Amino acid sequence: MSINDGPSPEMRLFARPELDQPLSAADAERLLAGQGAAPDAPKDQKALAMMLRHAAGPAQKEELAGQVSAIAAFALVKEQKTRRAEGPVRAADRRRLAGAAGGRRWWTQTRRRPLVAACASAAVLLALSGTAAADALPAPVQRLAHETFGAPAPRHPVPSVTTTPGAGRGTHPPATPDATPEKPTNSGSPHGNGKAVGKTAGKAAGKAVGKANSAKPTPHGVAKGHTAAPGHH
Amino acid sequence: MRLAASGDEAAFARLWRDNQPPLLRYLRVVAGDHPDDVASEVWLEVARGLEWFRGGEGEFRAWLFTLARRRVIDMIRYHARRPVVLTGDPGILDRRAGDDTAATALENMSTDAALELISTLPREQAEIIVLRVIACLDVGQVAELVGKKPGAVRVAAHRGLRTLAARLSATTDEAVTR
Repeated sequence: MSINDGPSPEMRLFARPELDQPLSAADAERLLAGQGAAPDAPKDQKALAMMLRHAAGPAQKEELAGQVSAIAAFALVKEQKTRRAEGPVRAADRRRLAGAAGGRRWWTQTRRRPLVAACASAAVLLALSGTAAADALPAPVQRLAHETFGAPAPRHPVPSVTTTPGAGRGTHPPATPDATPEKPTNSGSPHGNGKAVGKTAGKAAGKAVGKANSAKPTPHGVAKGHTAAPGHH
Repeated sequence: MRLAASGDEAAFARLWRDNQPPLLRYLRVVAGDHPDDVASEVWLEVARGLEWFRGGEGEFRAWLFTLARRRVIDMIRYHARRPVVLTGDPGILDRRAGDDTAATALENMSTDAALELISTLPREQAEIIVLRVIACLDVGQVAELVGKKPGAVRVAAHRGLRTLAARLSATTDEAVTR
């Protein structure tokens, strides 16, 4: 290829269009409407008209090859539509039947079961906590609640309380079994439940001391009794 | 139209024969590969919605190409690829019989070659020209279909035609001088 050959075909294809005569809007509309080029139109317009005529030419054999399957699809869609026209009634019946057979109830129960279990657990926990807070549980359980989540200590000393080694280290001798059955009155105690328990233990200790010393327990005895009871704050 | 809409298979077959070739050609230009698959999906959609269609042949054609265009847009989004590849193949017009004259070259130009040449245009121009020339839709219908103003459609079509004319001129000149 020499320099005189001009631009390559690729360059010509993508070069800026240069026409013999500019294509007017009317000419363009004429071509687009499929009316062809005017008789006196330049040759590039005639070529363009011919090319467009080819593009819009008659149907080719391979373009119509899928006719059978297209009509089959149309028939299938029509059949589906006919079936679907009866569909809503059947669907309603199906739902009703499922309800009658307990299908829906089973599904609802399946979903409700965990919820009911969770609610029941929460209720039991709440009741236990409330009872523990009110110090109304049996002594061992109350003690467990006290150690677990800080509920008030049991008012009735449990055997472990009286036999703990810390009790012997107090100023006063440890409470003896005959002092434990005394029921606390709580009257006039400004110290609350924990203190009342301490007071009871202190009283018991004081009584024990009183028995030994033939003297009445003093408020100091209560305080000392309180310190003597381990785990009672 | 009314018969086809009421489910008449023969009427649907006539409708299909009239519109399938332009639909396939449109899809070849704007969708590139697998125009038959897209056309089948479009006709299935037509079959489903035909009973609610109201209008004549022109309106039906506009509806058909609207469905086709939506399918093509979905496909392009799905595959994230360009539907039209600018091949720049200068040999498009060489697919002809032995004679080398420009007139014969154009006379013997196949529909395929013409569509390929249109496909070398920017996508928007190519689509508008196909919708105007092959689908035989008017400016208003095309504007509605592509979501542009009629003026913008006219301008795009005009530009496309000028480009095509220039390319044809260059190629046929080459064929004559060869």
